[in-house]
Amino acid sequence: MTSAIGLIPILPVAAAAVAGFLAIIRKAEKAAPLFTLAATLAAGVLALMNMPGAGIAPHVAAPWVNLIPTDAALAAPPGPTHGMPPGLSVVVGVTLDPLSWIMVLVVCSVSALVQIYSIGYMAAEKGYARYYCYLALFTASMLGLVTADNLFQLYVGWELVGVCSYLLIGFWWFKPSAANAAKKAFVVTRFGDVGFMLGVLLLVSVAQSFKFTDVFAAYQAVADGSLAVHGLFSAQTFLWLAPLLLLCGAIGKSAQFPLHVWLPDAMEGPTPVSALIHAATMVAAGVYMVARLILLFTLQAGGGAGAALDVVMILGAVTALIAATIALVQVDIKKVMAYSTISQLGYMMVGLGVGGATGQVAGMFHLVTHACFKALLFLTAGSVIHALHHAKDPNDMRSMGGLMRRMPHTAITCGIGVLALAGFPLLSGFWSKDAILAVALQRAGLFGHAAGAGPHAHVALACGVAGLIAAFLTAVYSARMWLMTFWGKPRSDEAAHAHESPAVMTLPLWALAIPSVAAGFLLAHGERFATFVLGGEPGPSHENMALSIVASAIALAGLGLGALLYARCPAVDPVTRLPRPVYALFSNLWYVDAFWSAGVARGSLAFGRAVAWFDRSVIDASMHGIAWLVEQAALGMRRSVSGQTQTYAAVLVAGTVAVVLLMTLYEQVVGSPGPAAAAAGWMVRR
Amino acid sequence: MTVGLSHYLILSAALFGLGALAAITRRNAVAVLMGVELMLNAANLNFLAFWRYLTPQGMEAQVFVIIGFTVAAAEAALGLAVVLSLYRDFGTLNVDEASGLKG
Repeated sequence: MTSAIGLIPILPVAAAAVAGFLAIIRKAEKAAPLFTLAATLAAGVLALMNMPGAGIAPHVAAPWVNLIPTDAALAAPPGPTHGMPPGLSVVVGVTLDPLSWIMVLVVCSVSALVQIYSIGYMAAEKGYARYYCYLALFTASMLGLVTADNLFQLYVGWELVGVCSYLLIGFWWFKPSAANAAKKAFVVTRFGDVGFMLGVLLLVSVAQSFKFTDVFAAYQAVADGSLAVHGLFSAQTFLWLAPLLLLCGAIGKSAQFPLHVWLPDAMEGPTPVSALIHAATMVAAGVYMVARLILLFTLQAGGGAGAALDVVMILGAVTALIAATIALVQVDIKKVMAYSTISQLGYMMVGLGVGGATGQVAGMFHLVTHACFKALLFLTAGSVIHALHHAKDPNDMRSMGGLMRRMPHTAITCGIGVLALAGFPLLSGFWSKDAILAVALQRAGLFGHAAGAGPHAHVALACGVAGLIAAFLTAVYSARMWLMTFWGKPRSDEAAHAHESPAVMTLPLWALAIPSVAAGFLLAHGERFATFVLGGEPGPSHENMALSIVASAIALAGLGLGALLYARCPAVDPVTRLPRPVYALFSNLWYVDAFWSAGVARGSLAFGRAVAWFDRSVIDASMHGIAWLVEQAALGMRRSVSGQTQTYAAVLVAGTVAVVLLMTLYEQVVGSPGPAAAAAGWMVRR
Repeated sequence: MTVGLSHYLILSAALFGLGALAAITRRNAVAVLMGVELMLNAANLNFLAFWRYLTPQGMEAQVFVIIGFTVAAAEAALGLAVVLSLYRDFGTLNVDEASGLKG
């Protein structure tokens, strides 16, 4: 059965082709989910049947590009290699090691639930089959990305999920805001992807191979000094530059500060898409990539503290904190969740920043639990928006309220998601957040101690504390969001007459609510998750009762504060009563968007205008000048064409006379026949 | 004084110049043709003068002159045909008005 795992990414591609065909012929569009759902479930089942065991990772591969030279080519003298090391081959395939296997299950399950949910959510939409085509294509791309065992396939999947994200954000392309958001998402992530591509090329140029294991070995060899780095960089530069370039990709894709600005805009896409791509899977790809390549970051630290891990951790902490404060003041329910997602991705980065297997496990654990409860939260938001779709702005929480009685399934599942997100004790978010805070603070020497490679202790301390503050803010905005939406009295007619969504939408909510409650405990219990990821070796436990109590207290305090402020449904939103500069900072998104649009976008425009001016008034103008000269010359010349035969004859005679005179004059002055006379004489002699 | 080669050549050059002047300056198409005839005859006169004074033993000059007559006759016939169709098309013999190829 192992060879069948090659079908994991292929089945959704085939389903996407079928759905795309239905979309083109515009017939039987309602049948599209049958194919895509079957393919997604089949891929998940295939993965379940091939669970990696201790030291066994099911693997199938096929050569794609093979540049291994033949004997004849080897005998020939070496020519230019165009940067490609001779003997490079690219293998595509499916590798199910524990990390990939977890991601495949997360992708397949969330994708399947989102597809079921979309049957209800998208029922009235045009382009139904096109929507499922994109979803299946995304699922396939994501599966290709996570099952890669080499940088090449990882990069291809990385770009493909970006394209699918673009297509799905812009699904309602006729809305200018959606079209712009799609472009913004694509362009902003491209900033990071450039760095990622450079990082991949740098690593491959040194390792002469795309395979992760070869790259790790080469990096280790460079660190040991047994492998030299040729080209632009010294070995020392290579060691810190390569991981940081890779991190650039994660900053773009996982919406880390300062490239997080695309994710809130991406909420223009259909809400189930936000749940799948912009909460559970694609935005986690950056985290997954760093986790997958964590060895590079850890090796950079040598045996002690390293700059690469410091950067990962600080970036994550800054992102987590800033996004949490912005989420606090948003009034659009999807925007709250978008900033919450950014904040939680920052959390994952903090966990990864601890480095080594410890950081990898902590980051990936939060990724998995977050995928469950954030997909759940987005789908509940979609359910609310679906119910209010007649309202002027169905996303505005200020016109909601009192939906608890009218939409009990949505309200309860959303409440579960909110509590899981806030880190309510024993729900999934509590365990994974706790794991991250524990490893970060233990690195700093609190609640235990962690030695070996990792970030600097003071960095870990600052980031751990930032994580605690972000956890408090998370609890406050989670409570605010739920209470504003579901509690109290309806604040609009639409909210007063809302109806619960159909079962096809509420069932996926319950299906996600269960892991949102239980996944954390089940996976954290007995270090089950760590043992599985590390391939059978039970990792050291980082559980610490004192820290758990502190974290719980913080979560409960945040939820309590939120409840205190919002349970009575105040007419004026209490967050607007924050000190004016603070509120301005939060509601203006920390001026990051303003910086990008005023600084970078305007700067690019100004540069573009300067280039356009140069093009028009220098390059084009010189061409026009030449054309003008030719035209003027022609206008002068045409005056000589009078049509008067007699004028021509006169010119002919005058010319002849002139030539003869010149020949004579030349002979008189020089004393011998000139060249013209010589030519005439030669012609006569012939 | 005796009449030498140079006298013939001067006469011939004067004849050619007058012919060219007529061909270039006269407005009447028939007069232009007459100017061309003069130039042809100046060339014939040159041939004969050179033959008489430089190569009296050869026959080439006479052959050329006879060809020149023939060409002149043909030119006169064709030229008059051109003049006729010029008159038909433009209603005038003034060559200044036949400027259809003006750029």
